[in-house]
Amino acid sequence: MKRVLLIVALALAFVLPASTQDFTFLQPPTLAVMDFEVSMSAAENEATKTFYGQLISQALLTVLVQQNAAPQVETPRDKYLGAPEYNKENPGLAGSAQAATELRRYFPPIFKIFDKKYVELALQNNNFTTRDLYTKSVGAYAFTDLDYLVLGNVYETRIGSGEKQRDAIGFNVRVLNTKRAEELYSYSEVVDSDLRDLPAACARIAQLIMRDILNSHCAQFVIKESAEVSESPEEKSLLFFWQSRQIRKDDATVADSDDSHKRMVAKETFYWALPGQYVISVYNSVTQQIKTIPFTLAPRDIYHITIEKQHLESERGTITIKGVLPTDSYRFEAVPEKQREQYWWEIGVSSNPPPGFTVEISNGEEPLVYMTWPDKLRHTKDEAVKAVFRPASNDIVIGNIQISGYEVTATAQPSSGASAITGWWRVSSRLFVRSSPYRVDLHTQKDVSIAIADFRLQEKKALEAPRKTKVSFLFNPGFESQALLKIDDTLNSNWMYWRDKEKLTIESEYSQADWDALPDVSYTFMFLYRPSVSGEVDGGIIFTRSFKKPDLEPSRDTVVIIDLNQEALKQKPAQKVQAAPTSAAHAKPPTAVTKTQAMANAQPPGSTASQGKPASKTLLQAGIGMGYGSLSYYADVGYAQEEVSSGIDIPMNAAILWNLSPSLGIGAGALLHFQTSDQFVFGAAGTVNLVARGPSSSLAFLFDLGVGTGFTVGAGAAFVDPAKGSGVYLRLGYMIDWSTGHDIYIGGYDYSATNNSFSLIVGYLWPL
Amino acid sequence: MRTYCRIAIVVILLGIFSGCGSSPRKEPEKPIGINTSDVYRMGQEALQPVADQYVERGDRILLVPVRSFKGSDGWRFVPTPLEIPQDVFEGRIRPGARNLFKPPAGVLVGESREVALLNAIFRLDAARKVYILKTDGEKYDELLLGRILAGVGYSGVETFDVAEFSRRNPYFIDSLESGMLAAVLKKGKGFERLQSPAISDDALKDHQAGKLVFGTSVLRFATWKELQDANKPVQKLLMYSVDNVISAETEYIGFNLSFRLVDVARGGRVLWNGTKTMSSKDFPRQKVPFLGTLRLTLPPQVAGAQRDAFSRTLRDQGVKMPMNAVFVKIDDIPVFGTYPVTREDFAVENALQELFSSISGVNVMEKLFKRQYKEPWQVAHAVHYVNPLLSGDYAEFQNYYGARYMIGYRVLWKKIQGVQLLQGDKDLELSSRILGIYVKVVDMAASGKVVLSDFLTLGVDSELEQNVLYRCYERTKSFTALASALRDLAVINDSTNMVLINRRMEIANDYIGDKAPAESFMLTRLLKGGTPGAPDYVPDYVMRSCYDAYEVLRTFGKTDDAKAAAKPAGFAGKTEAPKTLTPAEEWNLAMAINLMQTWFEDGLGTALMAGNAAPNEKLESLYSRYLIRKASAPKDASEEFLYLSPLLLSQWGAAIKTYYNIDKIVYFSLMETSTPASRHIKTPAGSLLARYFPLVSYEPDSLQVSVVNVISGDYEYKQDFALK
Repeated sequence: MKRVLLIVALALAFVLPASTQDFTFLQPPTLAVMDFEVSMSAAENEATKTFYGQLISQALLTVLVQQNAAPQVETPRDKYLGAPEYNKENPGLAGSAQAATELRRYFPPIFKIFDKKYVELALQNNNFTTRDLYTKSVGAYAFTDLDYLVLGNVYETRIGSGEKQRDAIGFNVRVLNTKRAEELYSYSEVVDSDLRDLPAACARIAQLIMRDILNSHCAQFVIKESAEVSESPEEKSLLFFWQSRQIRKDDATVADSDDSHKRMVAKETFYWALPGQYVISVYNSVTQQIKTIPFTLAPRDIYHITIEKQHLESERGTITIKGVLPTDSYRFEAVPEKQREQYWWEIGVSSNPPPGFTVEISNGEEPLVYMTWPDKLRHTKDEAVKAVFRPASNDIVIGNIQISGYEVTATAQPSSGASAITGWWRVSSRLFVRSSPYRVDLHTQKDVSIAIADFRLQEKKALEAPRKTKVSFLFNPGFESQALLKIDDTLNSNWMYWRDKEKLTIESEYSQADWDALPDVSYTFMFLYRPSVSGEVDGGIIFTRSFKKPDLEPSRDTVVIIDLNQEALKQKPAQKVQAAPTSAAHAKPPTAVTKTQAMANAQPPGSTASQGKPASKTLLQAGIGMGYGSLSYYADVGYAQEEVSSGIDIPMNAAILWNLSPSLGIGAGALLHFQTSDQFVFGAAGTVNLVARGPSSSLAFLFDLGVGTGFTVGAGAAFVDPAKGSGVYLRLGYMIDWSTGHDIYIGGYDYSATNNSFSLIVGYLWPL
Repeated sequence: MRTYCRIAIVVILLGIFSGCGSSPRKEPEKPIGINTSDVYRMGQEALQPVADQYVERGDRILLVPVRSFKGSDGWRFVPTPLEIPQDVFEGRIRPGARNLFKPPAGVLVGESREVALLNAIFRLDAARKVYILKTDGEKYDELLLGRILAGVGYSGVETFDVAEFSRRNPYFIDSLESGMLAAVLKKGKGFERLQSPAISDDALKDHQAGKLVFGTSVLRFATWKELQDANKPVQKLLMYSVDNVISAETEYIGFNLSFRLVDVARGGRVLWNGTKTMSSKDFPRQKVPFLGTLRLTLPPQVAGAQRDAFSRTLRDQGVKMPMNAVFVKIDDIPVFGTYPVTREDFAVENALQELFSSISGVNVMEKLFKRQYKEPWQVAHAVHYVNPLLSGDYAEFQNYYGARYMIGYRVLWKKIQGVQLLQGDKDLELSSRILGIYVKVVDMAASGKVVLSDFLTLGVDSELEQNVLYRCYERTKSFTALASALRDLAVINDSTNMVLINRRMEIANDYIGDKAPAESFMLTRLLKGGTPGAPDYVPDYVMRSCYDAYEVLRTFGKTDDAKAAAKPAGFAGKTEAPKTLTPAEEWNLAMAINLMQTWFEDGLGTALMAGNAAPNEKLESLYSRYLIRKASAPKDASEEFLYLSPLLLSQWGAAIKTYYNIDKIVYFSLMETSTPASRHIKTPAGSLLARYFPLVSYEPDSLQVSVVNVISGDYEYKQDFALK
């Protein structure tokens, strides 16, 4: 029998060179760690030897199993595969300083690890023992299912030097190819005799074994995104998963893998895996939809997977609302329901809900769509919901809807006759009728039809002796704008849409009780208008008008004139409303605006925020500069000898100014200067400062006059940002100082000194 | 020496600083002494006739001093003394004129026509330091002189500030009001005010800016409501303002008072409205014109005849008496988008108020509710010649004004501007300067049905014959065939609401759509106030714009060339044959055409009224198709628009009836093909405007009429009438 095994083993050794011994994920390399041999003087009897042999091999087995199940391995950066590693100062000691490491991510498990008992049993069945493995007995390596054996020997040694020299245990580990009985890799470690660092030493060896196996038998792949995908807004919503197409179950049968086998991976990172068939799943966390990319890894390949635009395409649903007549006006608001089903990786993780949307249909015109994006990410036109009215069948088809559950609310808008009257709309807010939410689940049915009757819209009952209100708005230019209006009086909260209207008359009715409880009524307008004046607002402008109840009595006939250009000028940059795409027909004059953004940006009535910052009353100026000064003084050399000392002059000035009018400010300040020469000069003066500026001019003129240790005069110009009122200024100044410290008295006569200096100051002027 | 220098510098500095803080030294203020007894007596005498006529026994009357609207309003006919002080002439008038009226572009040497006129008609009397107006030589262009003096803001009647006057003489108002109270107390009761009646500053400002309906009360509406409170009964309200005072210590005093007596108990009926000049015995009579009292006195025979005519028409139209009405000055607001507020306007409305109040059963109501005119851009967007009043819902007119009827009026001036020489010893009189006033009474409760349309003639026939606009009115006023045809063919009946729409002007709106050279010019002028950054209102600017447009009308029959006609004033034109018009010239001509067309329409309205086919006033804006054409402006869309209605209506149907309450639209187009050269001017063929108005004539020879039913959109009538 041994002979037969030997023949087979030799034959295989010739027929199957190492390079052709390829494994797959379903057929991974098999491995067993056997008891190590022991050659230690301290362990004379067999029992002790067995103890050390088993102890260290089991320690290695344990960490090897752990490493096999781990998703990554950190190993020393290997220049030469399998090269011995030494720590010269403390050779072989585990936990010693490590060289640079590298991280390898892989798809576990890489090995199939057998317990040594199975090997021993196989050996026993063939009349071999473990010892035969160490002695390389012919036929001992003829395992049909075992690819690698890990053998080792333990020995006693000493480490350290001088007084620190101490007993230690060394062990060598070898990985043998069972097919050829070839020793492929070997590793050594030395640990203290008390074995406290044995786990670390074994871990190092296990890591090295993993590294070497990865190098020898695995392929790599990397996920990349195409430029189109990386620049798309959906990119931030993508998750990538990796799984083997099939798995081997515990009973050794092969089955397709499922979601539980998905492992999250990162893009642009190399992953190692055994050859085989794999699947990359691209998951869009907004749409909750998965696109799969199957691929096959060949041995030692480096495979690039590119995520293309097509991988982002998700399934969309449609809602068809039937029975909408061309004379009707409706508003349909769809609010996404909270996500009910979650993948395992979504549990406990906040997810992005799909966008809500609102569809407006008025008098058979092409519907308008307004999106309510859940985040502030950019969105493309393709993502927006699209709606079309089909007059032949009286249907509104709302398509390109993300698969989700929605609550759809219908609001019947008053039959305005708007199509007949150009330029003017009379509308009663009481005529708005709102339905209860209607639940639509696109998960269960991708295309849903709802009859308008299903919304159960019912006209409001006529009021007895109602209180009526009426207000008219005039818009200029009304014929170049579209608008949304929110009427909010706590009883009616409605949105209306119109275009090309110069005049809007809003009438409402209230019961006496409602009227008594009614606070002020506000009308928030959102105009899609591109003003013709400077300070353009991209998209829409928003403003609110609120009214006291008496002002809305019909007999008052309140008329409010609204100049859109003026309103646009009032809009702060922060109020600029980002445009979102909508139906093509309405995209021409700017674009539609998302309601959420619009309302979030709406300012309360009377808010000064929309009025722009008022001109500050107080200005502060401060600056520093450089100049040249010359001191004329007398030196006492027995007589008064006139001397001159010149040097660099460093001036500083500051002042606070109050605006008497928009064009003139006056204030007080100070100027300090010192002069560096062989005679130090210091001067200071209190100043009266003036600033003059033309209305909306960016140039201001400064002037100051002062007296102190001398006399100073300065003039300059400031370049001011008209919007902020701040800017840089330049001041050219002159100062004459008496420099009394340099005066001398000879014979009772005062020989006084004078310093003249010129300087240029650069400073900043800003409103307080 | 150096020490002395230092001291000198410090002294100079101190001088500079102390100089900065001090204001120019003023002459010590001189108190104004007056004879308070005289003031008391004059106050009483001024009011007594009014009080005797209108105050009833037991009336409780509130006297309310108000700031005069007239205080800062300009003059259409500038009061001009025969002698102007040299410093005023050289320091203000001539430099102002040079600044305002520049020589035309390309003229390097010389003065503008305006400055040349000043130099020609005033001579300096160096000894007396005055400039003397030459009135004895050849006639000067009074219209141009008025334009110059109004332009530089000069007036021989000095601007008076009652607050300043009263500060220097604290007893003036007290004495005056005491006198007025004495007049009231003969029959009624007056009472001491504890709080100032609220005056609306915004209303004052808006009124002066030409936004508020002319003649609106300055009193806050809330105050009016308080007056009507039954717990604090006030039957009558007397608003008065002191418009001017001339005094010389206690020697003499004269003043100019405006009264407005309103019957609170009857909802704000105006009982008396007018201006009184009062002066002490020794007041120099030649100073009376300098008080600036301006009045329009309707000749008694004219007033009497018109009163009867109006009364008869109103009765014939079935107007139930008593009727409440308010005046709404229309003038040229539908053409220019705004109007210059002048003192003459007050005199006109006072005279009209007196005339209509004298009609039995007609109550003219105080305009207490603050209602504005349409914005210039509204006028620009609407069809031609809409009523300038702005409302949200015109059916509410009665609720806020307390009046069912609107009396709209347009003044036809003999000359659009001029001067009033301050000579003689009487108040300034306007009657010789007005050819007539077109009046229409509109029933606001019947969707603007016109119940009276007439021209109150003040000028003599020869003057009227020379006026282009009057001839436009006359041309269509006498055309009665249309009303007969519409009636006879049952196109309309008594209950039909119809509006006149000038189809030719709607088509001519394409002139703007075609990017006319004058377009930006027109919009700048017409939309003034609606354009961001533009000043809200510059009265003189509006006045000069009106002047330029009217100047075109003066040249009819004098030249065949619209180029000469449409020159802006002050243009010393070149003599070569014109090919095109400059934008300013086009604008002037376009505005002149607009003016003529409005008078054609008023004439046609009068003719229809007379034929028992009264139209409705265009109160709400009907929109012109040019708006969409202008907005979309596809290059090749002209053909598409060619075949469409000139109106911007999406579809015919009940909605139009619901919104506008009209049944029929009566389109009319007045066309001229071969009018004599003396009666037209020719638009240079190179100008875009020539496509639409190759000839501009006050004698069109055809009138095309079509009637459309707004429910069906069907044409129910079409006819081309030959006008003879």
